[in-house]
Amino acid sequence: MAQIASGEDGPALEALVDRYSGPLFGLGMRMLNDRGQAEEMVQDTFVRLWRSAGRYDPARGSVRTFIYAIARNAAIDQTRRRASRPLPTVERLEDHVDTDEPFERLILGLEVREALGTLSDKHRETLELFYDEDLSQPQIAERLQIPLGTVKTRSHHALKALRQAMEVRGLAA
Amino acid sequence: MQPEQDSHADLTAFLIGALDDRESAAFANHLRTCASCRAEAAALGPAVDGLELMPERQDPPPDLRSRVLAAVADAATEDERAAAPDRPSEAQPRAIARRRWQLPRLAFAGLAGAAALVAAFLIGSNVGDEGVTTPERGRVELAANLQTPSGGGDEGRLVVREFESGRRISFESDALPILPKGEFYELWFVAAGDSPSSPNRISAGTFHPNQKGISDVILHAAVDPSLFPMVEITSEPDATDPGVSGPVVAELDAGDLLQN
Repeated sequence: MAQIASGEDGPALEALVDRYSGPLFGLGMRMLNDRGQAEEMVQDTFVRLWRSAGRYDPARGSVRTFIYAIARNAAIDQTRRRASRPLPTVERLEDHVDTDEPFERLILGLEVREALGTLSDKHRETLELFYDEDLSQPQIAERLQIPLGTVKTRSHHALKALRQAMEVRGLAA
Repeated sequence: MQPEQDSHADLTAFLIGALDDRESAAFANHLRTCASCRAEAAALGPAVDGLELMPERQDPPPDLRSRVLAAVADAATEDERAAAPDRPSEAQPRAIARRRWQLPRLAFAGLAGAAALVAAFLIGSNVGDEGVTTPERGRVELAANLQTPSGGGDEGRLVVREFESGRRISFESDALPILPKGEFYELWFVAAGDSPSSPNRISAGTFHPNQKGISDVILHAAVDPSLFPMVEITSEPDATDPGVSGPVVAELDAGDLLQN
């Protein structure tokens, strides 16, 4: 953030875009339910981040918290742009995002999704089939044409790999 | 005793809920007597919890990264162009983000009733192209400072850029008071002849300052500023009234307009 605030922002900004654009897009989809607006929200978030980098105070929170706070406001403003007057749904959205715990859990889920994407294809596929397609392990074995024991072993290694990926992202101690 | 590798594979199945009731009960018994599995379960717990929170997968468009970086570059250019030439100390990239708004807030202390602001801009001229205009970067039509009617200092910076699809209005201020919950500011483009009984104005959108009193918004409107040459920001205490429901307080710093 200091690099961005000082104007030496190329690599630093790109690193943040690479790290957060995926989860921010997921956040935009959850809050706005529209791909175009979610994309615009992500762009708006990084523009605001770039302009407010000088205000970031590490004593008040992590970069992650800072970015998601900006994104939340960007999403709220996006909903306001959809109507010339705030609608009841906007107020309910604001009530939702003003509650830290549900929002924090939403962010964590998005970041875990992002972390899952960094796993090897075999590991990621095993967990995605279980969680996204709601397949049992025997069904996964049938789908992938591999033994059930292999599915169980892959799942175990996938979970360990995910744990490590979460640690790298500061999502798990 | 089960081989450790098999135990750990079953452990994961147990943790994610992949075992049936009989298998799950049997493994729970095993867990009570196996310190190794208990330690592994504790280590993997956060990953399992995280997976339970995962939302539906949403893949961003492949060009999102490049578009984000282009948007930031665009903002940098916009800020650089909007920096006033007679303020050499602020004539640097992102001057708007760094500017310290000096107007004392005493200007608002005397307001009775709702804290209402209006910035009136005279948009009488278009900004000539000072550089290449592309569909992605737009053309700066107006860059101006907001003022209170007393003619005090800066209250915020407004930039209007024209794109193929319409106008993008960016507004930044650290001087607008934070409004009570349910109230908000609204930015209007106003034409000649506008009156309460016969309004001739278009809303560009609504916003409110954040908890630190910073307003940093981007609004979009298809309105042509040359046809609606005044810009007002009103404070709206009445969410049910589609028209202006707050009083007018501020006015334009005409000397800050960019001329052809």
